[in-house]
Amino acid sequence: MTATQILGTDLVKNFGKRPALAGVDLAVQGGLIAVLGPNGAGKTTLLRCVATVVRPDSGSLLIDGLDPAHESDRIEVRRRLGYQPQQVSFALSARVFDALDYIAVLKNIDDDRRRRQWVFHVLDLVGLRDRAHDTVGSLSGGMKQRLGLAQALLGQPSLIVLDEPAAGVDPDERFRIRDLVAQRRTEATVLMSTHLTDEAAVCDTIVVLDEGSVCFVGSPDALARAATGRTWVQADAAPAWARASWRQADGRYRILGSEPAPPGAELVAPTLEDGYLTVVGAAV
Amino acid sequence: MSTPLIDPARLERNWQAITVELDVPAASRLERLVRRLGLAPRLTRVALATPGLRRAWFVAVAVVMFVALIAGDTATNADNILGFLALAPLIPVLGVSFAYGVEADPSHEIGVATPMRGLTLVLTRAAVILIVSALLLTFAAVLNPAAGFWAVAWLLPSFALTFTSLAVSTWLSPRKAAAVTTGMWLVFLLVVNGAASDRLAAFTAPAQVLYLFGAAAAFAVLWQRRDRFDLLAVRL
Repeated sequence: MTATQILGTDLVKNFGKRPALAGVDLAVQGGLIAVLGPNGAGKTTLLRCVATVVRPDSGSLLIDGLDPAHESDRIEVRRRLGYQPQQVSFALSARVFDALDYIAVLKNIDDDRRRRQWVFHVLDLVGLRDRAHDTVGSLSGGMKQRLGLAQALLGQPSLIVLDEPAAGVDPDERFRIRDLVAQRRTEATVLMSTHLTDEAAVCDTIVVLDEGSVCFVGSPDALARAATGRTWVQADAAPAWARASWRQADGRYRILGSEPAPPGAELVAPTLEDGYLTVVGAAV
Repeated sequence: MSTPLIDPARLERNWQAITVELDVPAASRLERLVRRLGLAPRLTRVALATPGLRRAWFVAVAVVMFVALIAGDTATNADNILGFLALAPLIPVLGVSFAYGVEADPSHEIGVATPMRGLTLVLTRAAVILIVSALLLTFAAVLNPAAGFWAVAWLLPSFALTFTSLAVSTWLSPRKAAAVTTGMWLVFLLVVNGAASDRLAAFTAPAQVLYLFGAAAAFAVLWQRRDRFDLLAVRL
């Protein structure tokens, strides 16, 4: 299966007077791609545009050369798509099997037997097969997130769009979901939003979004390198010019900034978090 | 070493298929009932998936029972006939307003991103509501043999109002659209009642032709704006 290509040019989306996307350019294909950014950066809006549920006000979006603004292209994109929105929700009284079977129907898996096989296949993938007869309401938060991921995997999509798939779950579930998502990178283009740098660290490509614009595209290593020569550790609190600083576990202060090193400060190798904070221009 | 009589991979596939069939939960009573009426399993799933729709069914059934009580005296009382004919077309409108959109369907955003066209989904559910409402209301009305033409005089208005409500829902939320349509209908009846000497003028044969054209016009608007059902904003 060929990985889906996403090509966005000058994408603009406003909600009232508030711009959610202010001219996003994006060109990605294949692998696991993290859309990283602070709250309100436009991550969800960008993912909704790629998932074809929201139409940009202007700009061009092509998915495998198909333009979702046209009805026939949009339907074709949706045949290749698995989408997990930020607010994953199913009827709490529905059984797990029935909730997935319903989505499989909407995905045009019309043959009853084939549809049942798909439902159990994705339940196996996310480790929920033994809960197929239980109601959605009886699942834990992490299990509901995995159920949301399961529906996105129905029909083996070549484009998987996941909006914060591990939001609000405990670390065990977060690692399990991260692992499940990472396994899909070989068979699909996986676009995943997150505001956690440790989730982005396992991705092939990171797109950093801030205030509706893309401010970085590259590998996790390249993002970390953005803070090379700008990351110090010292015993005292941050100088006034520091872009960001925080107290580490050892009691010393980590400082990010573009000015010459403060006296007594030790230049250190930057982490992904340092790079991220550098490109989004975080304040102290 | 002897060659196995059965291909192990094929055997495994068959066992998988058998296990899947054994693991499938039994359909609910409501689903079994609807399937017995002839609806395909996948369409039954679409029609009954939303708890909002199921609630709408129960609301519709309850209202039908109420209307049946009103209709019991239709032979002698024009006010009761008018009450029945004014209320009955609103039952499918009410049902349809609970049948789709973010308020009715928790999986709505997931559904929007699937290849099933939004209009197909909406019309499937609307058809189920319309058919059930038509069967129950007609049954309730014909219980009174004197009702005659009036037993079915609500049918075309109900089609016109349902399609109008769906068309308006390409601008507003389904429930607001139903409220606007209900308001327009009641105002229309008041105006016609005030202008005509016949209290049932809004349901005579010439008026029925008007409803037929109204339904067609509303459907044309609905079709023209169908892509609004394929986007998230319209369903918010």
